[in-house]
Amino acid sequence: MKNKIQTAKIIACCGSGGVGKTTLSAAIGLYGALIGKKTIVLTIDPAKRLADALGLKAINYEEQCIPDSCFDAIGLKPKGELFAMMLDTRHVFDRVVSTYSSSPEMAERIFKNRYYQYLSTSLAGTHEYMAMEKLYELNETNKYDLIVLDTPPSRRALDFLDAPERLNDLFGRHFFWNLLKPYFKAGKLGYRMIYFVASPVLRSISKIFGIQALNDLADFFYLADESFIDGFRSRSLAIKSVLSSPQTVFLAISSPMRAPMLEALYFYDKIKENNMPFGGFIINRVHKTLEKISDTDRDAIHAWISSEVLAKKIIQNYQRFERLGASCNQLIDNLLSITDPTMHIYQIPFFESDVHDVAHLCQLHEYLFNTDF
Amino acid sequence: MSIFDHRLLFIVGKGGVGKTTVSVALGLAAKRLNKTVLLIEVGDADAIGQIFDRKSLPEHPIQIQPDLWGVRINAKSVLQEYIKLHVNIPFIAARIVKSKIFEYIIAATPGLKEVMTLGQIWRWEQNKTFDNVPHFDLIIVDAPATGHGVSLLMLPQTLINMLIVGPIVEQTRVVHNLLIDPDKTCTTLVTIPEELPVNEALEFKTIASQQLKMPVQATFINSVYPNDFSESDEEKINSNIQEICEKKHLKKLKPMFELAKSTIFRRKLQQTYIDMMYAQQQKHETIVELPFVFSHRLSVKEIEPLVQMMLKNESS
Repeated sequence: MKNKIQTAKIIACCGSGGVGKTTLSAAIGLYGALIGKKTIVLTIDPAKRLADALGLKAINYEEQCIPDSCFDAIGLKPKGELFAMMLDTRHVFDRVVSTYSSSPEMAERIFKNRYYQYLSTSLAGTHEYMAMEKLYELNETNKYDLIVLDTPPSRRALDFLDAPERLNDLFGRHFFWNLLKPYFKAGKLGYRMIYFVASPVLRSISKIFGIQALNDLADFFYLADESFIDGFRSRSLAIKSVLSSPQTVFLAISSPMRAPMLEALYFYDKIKENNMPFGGFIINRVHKTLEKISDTDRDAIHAWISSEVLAKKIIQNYQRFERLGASCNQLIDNLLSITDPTMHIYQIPFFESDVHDVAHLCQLHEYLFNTDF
Repeated sequence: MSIFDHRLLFIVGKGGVGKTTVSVALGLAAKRLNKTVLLIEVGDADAIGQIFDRKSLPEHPIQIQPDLWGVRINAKSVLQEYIKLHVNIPFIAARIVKSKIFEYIIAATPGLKEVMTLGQIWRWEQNKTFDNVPHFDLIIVDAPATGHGVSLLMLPQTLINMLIVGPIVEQTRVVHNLLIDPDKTCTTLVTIPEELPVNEALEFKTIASQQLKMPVQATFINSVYPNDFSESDEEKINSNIQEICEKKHLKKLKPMFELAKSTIFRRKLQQTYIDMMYAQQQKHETIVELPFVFSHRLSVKEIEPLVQMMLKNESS
């Protein structure tokens, strides 16, 4: 991983919710800064204490520099700089619309459209797409040596690899665009009613779905003109090419449980399928394999401790974690057996307390990069 | 009112807290209370199937165990059925289902997938056997992780606003009435005693009562370590560890004692988060703590302690 991070420009961390993506992204970003890269972590929703520890303000969607004082705790001074940025989908989407609208009036009308309001916040894939959009924007500025992306925590994050194509479909060749545009372009909105009534398919659909939804959609695409759509389309392709570049590394993050591991595998397949550079699996919060407690140890505990009950509790507690460790190990073995044997699998142990400050983040470096500063 | 006296349990929570585990455990517990249960999985995951060591659930209910049924909802196929039902002319229905605009509307209409999902749940709720008793006594819905759980439940308002008229709106109203009826539907929250999940759980509780009008009636705090060690145990263990460090022949025992110590530490940390949940307990909210399962390969056997805890809570 050490070599990878030295040459990488973009590191994207993928995985299902609750596996610690945000924390790991922060740890990787911190490492980047420590080895001298100007680094930014593009994150979604860090735990409050971690955000506080990094001096991040919650409601701020600008690039924020992590103050030097945060590194005092570890007694290190990063050779590079560390920035963080929180992602707000709506905010990014609005910017995109402003950029590609032919006039401020048009942008304003799009913002007010009810369908846009839905599209920009709730449509499946929007979050993922906007994360990519922001990533691309940051990459283009050439301000940073390394961008670490913490992808949105949802199963839909799997869509983000297809996001450029999806958006292309949405804006490019879809039904409304090709069929309805000439009618709307005439500028007479009354046409759409006539149109709906004329086609039996559309008529049935409008009956079932209610006409209002279709009108909102139609309005949205009426507002969004050719240059807007083209802008989107070329942007999508550019993003895809950035993601496929050899300077990008995808990491699949999981906890040692079956469901998130299957998710991580899904990511792995998806990344391979798209010919994108895969950097390995990070298995977070692994309960280590404990040596089996022997009968002599057991007797020794009983002989040493006066309280029979306490001795039993200690042994029982140990055996529980022995079992847990074994189950983690088995899952990781399974993962190894179904992926490429040369696959990198980084294991991060389960820590006693939550990782919520810079010192704790540094602890992770030992397992990711084989070094601690 | 007992959680098992509802018709519908909506299981919500952040990803990775064990919603599926809790859903299955609730199903197994209800079954032992002589109920016929339907477990519903929403979305593409096949986590329920995994616990029962079988492949993913089909799109029509199947019996997993006596009195325990399972199904996976696929919004798109529900919508196709729905169209066929509502468009009288089969040829037009077929054209709609095949058309690109149909694909597009599914992807783009706010809450359409969700309303189809909820509508299907409602139909199962209405299902009657030949002698006119409900087919399922209890329906348990393993909802998507909180963010999406909210959008699933939020949809009645959104959709009614967007569509205004039409058969889908009518259906949505009926579903909405079922969801906001606290005697029928129990919003069931799952969390684990850690920082982010607890914060998110507390946020959800506010949204549930204020925006969704579906206040959380049951909260399960999952993965709670057993509280084996007393204060005096802790003191003894600490002094034992000191002794181990001093005496060479005891060195071999160090890992056992260190582990006991860290378990005590972790348990205390968990307690602070558990306390946070109790501090904000609402009037009609039951809080149940569920034990940590010491295996990451979950099976029906492994989650039995959770079932026991649910039943115990029921009888107390």
